[in-house]
Amino acid sequence: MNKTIVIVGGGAAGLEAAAALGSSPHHVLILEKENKTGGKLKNWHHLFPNFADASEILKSLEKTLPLNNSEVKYNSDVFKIEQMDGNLIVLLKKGEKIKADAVLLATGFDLFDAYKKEEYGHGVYKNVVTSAELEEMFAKKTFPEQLKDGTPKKFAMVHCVGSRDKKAGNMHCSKLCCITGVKQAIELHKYLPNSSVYNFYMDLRMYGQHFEEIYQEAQEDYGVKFIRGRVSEIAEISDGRLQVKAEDTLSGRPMKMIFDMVVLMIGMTPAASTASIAQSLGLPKTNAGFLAPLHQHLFANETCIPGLFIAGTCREPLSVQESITDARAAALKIIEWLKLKENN
Amino acid sequence: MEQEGKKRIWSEYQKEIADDHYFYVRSCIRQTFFPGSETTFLRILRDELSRDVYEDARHTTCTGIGYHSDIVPFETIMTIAARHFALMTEAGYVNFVPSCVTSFGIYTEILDTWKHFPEMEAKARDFLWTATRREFQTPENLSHTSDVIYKFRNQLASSSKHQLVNKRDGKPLKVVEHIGCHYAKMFPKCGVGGAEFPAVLSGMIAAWGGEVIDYPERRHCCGFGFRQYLIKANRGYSLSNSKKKFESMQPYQPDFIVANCPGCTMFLDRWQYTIAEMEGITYNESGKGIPVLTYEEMAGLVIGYDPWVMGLQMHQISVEPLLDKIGIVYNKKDKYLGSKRQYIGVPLQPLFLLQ
Amino acid sequence: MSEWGFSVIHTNQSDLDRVDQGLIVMIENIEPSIFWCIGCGSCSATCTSAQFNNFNPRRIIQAIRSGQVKDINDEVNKCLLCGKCQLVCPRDVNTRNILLNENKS
Repeated sequence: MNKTIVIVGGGAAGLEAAAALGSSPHHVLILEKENKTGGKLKNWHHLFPNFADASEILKSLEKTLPLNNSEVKYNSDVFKIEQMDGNLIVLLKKGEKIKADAVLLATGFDLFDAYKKEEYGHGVYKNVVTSAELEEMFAKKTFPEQLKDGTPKKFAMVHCVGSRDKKAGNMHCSKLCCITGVKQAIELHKYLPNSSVYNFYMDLRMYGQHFEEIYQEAQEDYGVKFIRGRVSEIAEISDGRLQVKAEDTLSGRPMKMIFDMVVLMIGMTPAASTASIAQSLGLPKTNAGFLAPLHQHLFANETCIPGLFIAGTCREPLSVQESITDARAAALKIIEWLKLKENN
Repeated sequence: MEQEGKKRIWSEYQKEIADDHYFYVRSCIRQTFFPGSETTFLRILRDELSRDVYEDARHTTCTGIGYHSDIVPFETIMTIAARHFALMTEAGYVNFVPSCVTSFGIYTEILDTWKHFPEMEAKARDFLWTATRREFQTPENLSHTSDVIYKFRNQLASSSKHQLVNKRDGKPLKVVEHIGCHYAKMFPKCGVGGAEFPAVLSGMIAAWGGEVIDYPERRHCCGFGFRQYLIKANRGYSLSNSKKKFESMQPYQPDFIVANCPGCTMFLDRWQYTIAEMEGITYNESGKGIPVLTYEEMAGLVIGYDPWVMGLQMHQISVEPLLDKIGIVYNKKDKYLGSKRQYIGVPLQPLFLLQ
Repeated sequence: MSEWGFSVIHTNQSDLDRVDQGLIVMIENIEPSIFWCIGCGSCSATCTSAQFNNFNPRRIIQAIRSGQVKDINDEVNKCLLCGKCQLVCPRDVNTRNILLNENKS
């Protein structure tokens, strides 16, 4: 019997889940709040650790859609979800109600809003940018004028902005920012030759395959300098360049240095759009505010609500690669669950 | 883009500032260094703005100097604060307005402690009753005097005689604003604009036609501290911190500095003399140093009060170049005449700092 | 002028834009592996000299990289050149060679 599976979110996880569910006889409906699919993946240029082209990966994910028994509804922001007679009713903000046999939440994450770290001056000093803004500069080749005159330029990459920070309200580690910091440091050397890049870190979380090798490559082949010390404040000097203060903890001295541009490695936070859905269902959250799974090890894609599944960065910080794998795992669980439901 | 970012931050740090009926407590040291400032505040509030400001001669020092030097324990200072609140309650007021930023910091710290530890408030009531048979109510509004002037800055601007503009070339004066550490660094929510981009003095400067300078050591402490300053051998720390600020602001060539804390204003004014005599360095081309004002003096100049009546002759760095830039008319001969037009004497000339 | 009783204190903060680049450039050319160091400290842990005085190879490498050469000039004489540091280094930094050349300079 064909069931209806609603996937909330058409980002990397949502698209891959739809593709994986394509081998089942069920009807898949993706509800995407924007006017095109792709989620955050649309904004990235190259993905770690091998500098894969993000737009190529997105194209591959989107290519699967017309082949399956799946449909995408755009501009369909989900407001809340209700349970009724063993089914789930998905309510859209614009009023429409959709009945589903199973729902997969793949609503993604929000980037930390850097202005909250007032001492870093994002939004006040124009040469302080976020990692997301830098990624856009790489993708569109839109570097600020003063960086293009061919003279040596200095860049500071500030790790842990909005993560591991009680004042910012986020104690968790966002996992991906360290490798992004190293990746972007290498890319700055590639796109703007004659650059010096300094990464200011507390700990370097090179957790994945090839990450530690990239760190080594950054030091040996590109001359990226790493200073272990968290940046305390950023201030502008008279010509618009930025003075950065940190402690070089490995030698035990406070230091300062002037940079042409400072890049803030902003963290991942739970998506605001997920909050109203979670509240309507009474879904429990992790300490960091992400959606909590039924069981961390064994049922990572299931929730306490029968028929409601979670995949991707709405449940914890994940890379694109991990979101794709996670989505497939969730798809398998959904197929199993629907079979079980039918037999009962 | 810069202003938009700052405005967004400022909108998160708006605080309630009382509109009228202020219970005013003075600073112990401000009146020695900048004698005209507090009388100017009263003049502005009573004469220009027709507000009710009440003073009780029985209030004492808040003993912040002692507290910050580990001489006065917390229980004592909290009882002294309680006594001031009692004087306020007895006079029928609910808006508490201290003149000194360190005092402001003490009162906010005490009120915050009492909020989280009600047993401390009970203790304070008990001590006060035992010692003086007084009872008190906590103030409904606690604002610093610079907050009050900030609140009325636009009203004062509309009736002002002068602007913070260089009369010769029509350009806004470049002003360095320095906020006392105890104003917002301890409790950012208690300061207008927060701790990173405080708005209280920059709001006044902008309203009166000046241009605020953002220099790298803007948020750095002037080094006052009490603890090290009280022992002569340790004053090098205080001096070096102020020097760090001067070196950072010098490339911007500020026309004057304004501060809202008595210690900061004193340090930024006097240390320029010390550095000049020790090392032969001054921080502007004329060799006369950068004039330093309190915010009441700045407000008074803008309104049109006489600089000598406000006590500007007591400043170490000569203010005449600034007065000339603004276009204020003053009588050079009256500089060293006291309040009864008696001659009060000319100070000794420094060796290096030009006067 | 009378005795002040205090004076301006020289800052502890190092300005990385103003440090003397001479030594660091020299070492970089002779032994580029100095930049591969991650500050793990296993060299100092095994160091023969470090057991009995405050000689510290990790700190010396760090000091050279950040230009704080004044701090370490006397220290490098205490290296025995035994080579245990580079044996244990996970990044294959040739610490012995760095200290040998720092000594020579």
